[in-house]
Amino acid sequence: MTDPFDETDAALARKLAEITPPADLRARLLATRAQPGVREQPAAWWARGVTALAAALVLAFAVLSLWPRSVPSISAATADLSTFLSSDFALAMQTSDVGQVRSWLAQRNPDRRIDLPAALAGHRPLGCRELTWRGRRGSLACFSLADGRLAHLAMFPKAAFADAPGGTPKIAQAGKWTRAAWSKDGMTYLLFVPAGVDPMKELIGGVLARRTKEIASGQSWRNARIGIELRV
Amino acid sequence: MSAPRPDFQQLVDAHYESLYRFALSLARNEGDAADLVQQTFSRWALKGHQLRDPALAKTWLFTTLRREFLATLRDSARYADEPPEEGDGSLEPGQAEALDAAEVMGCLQKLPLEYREPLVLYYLKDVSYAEIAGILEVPIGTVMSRLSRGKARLRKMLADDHD
Repeated sequence: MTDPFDETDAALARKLAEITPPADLRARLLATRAQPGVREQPAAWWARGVTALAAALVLAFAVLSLWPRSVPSISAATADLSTFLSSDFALAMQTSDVGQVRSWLAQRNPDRRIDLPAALAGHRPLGCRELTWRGRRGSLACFSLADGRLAHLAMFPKAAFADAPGGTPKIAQAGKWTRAAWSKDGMTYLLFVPAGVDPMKELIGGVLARRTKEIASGQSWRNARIGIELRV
Repeated sequence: MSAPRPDFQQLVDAHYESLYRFALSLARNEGDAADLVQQTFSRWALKGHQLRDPALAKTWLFTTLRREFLATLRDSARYADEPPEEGDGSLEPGQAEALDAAEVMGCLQKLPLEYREPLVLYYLKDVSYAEIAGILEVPIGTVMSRLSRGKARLRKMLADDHD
């Protein structure tokens, strides 16, 4: 048995009820809407078979050795972040100076080496903030594209993901976003731009943009591996 | 027959304030608390449709928020608990009325997590013992013993602050 809910408890409960959330929180929450599922590029049939077997082995290993603290996937991050980015979130620091973005990121990540892609850094920044996703601490920088639409770069340690990509960007569609994900110097970057090819061309480079266009038009699903180097 | 599935706005309106108070007690600052609530509803937007019994939506939200926080806790020393204080439950109702809300939340935030979690859920009032046990993933007897000890410690802290 526990103690009864007495007058002092009632008074403390009333005090707790006086605490109000930030004025904009409800609006931010209501802006969070379900996004269509994340669709990664399909691989060739033989690759899918090998991948399925490998995935089963990896999953079995993960369940046996890492449970209950499993390492989430890039797809999970893409799905969660695409929803988050579609909501009305706040920035911790607002600036149009890319130098301030770089120094803010460096201050918040003293033990990490963060490199903004050079082409992205050429766009006008809006600001940045910290991100905590499933216990993984990361950063987010937001930029305005030439047409006024927004691009968002999320940055997490590579170890935050079970399937962190290599240096070659992997493209996925996530609702109204196109996501490019790659890793460099121990960090994994997830770049979200509005679905379409032009922003990718502006941000990363012509080769990727052409491949993205092919993928978007369904021309090259089976051979979608993108062999370019990022310009950073 | 199961309860009708609440729509997103109904769910937000019904629970976001309580979730925020719970999150504030865990995270100890408003920005992180708001982020926890937002992450929780983001996860609902993606996964909520998988919940078979809509009546469990509230428990799902609190459980998810707590798991998000605990995942953060493993990754950070920011939320380390201070050494616990012993208590004798000496706070009177009149003294409790004289406290302000921030003072009460401040003392709740100083309690060790094992007492803070059930106590805040208990004071939210619309969460039953069984729901608290489900959210904290412990037996109901554990909830009751932690509540009893937590209440005594909280009252001692508040009484000391009030003196």
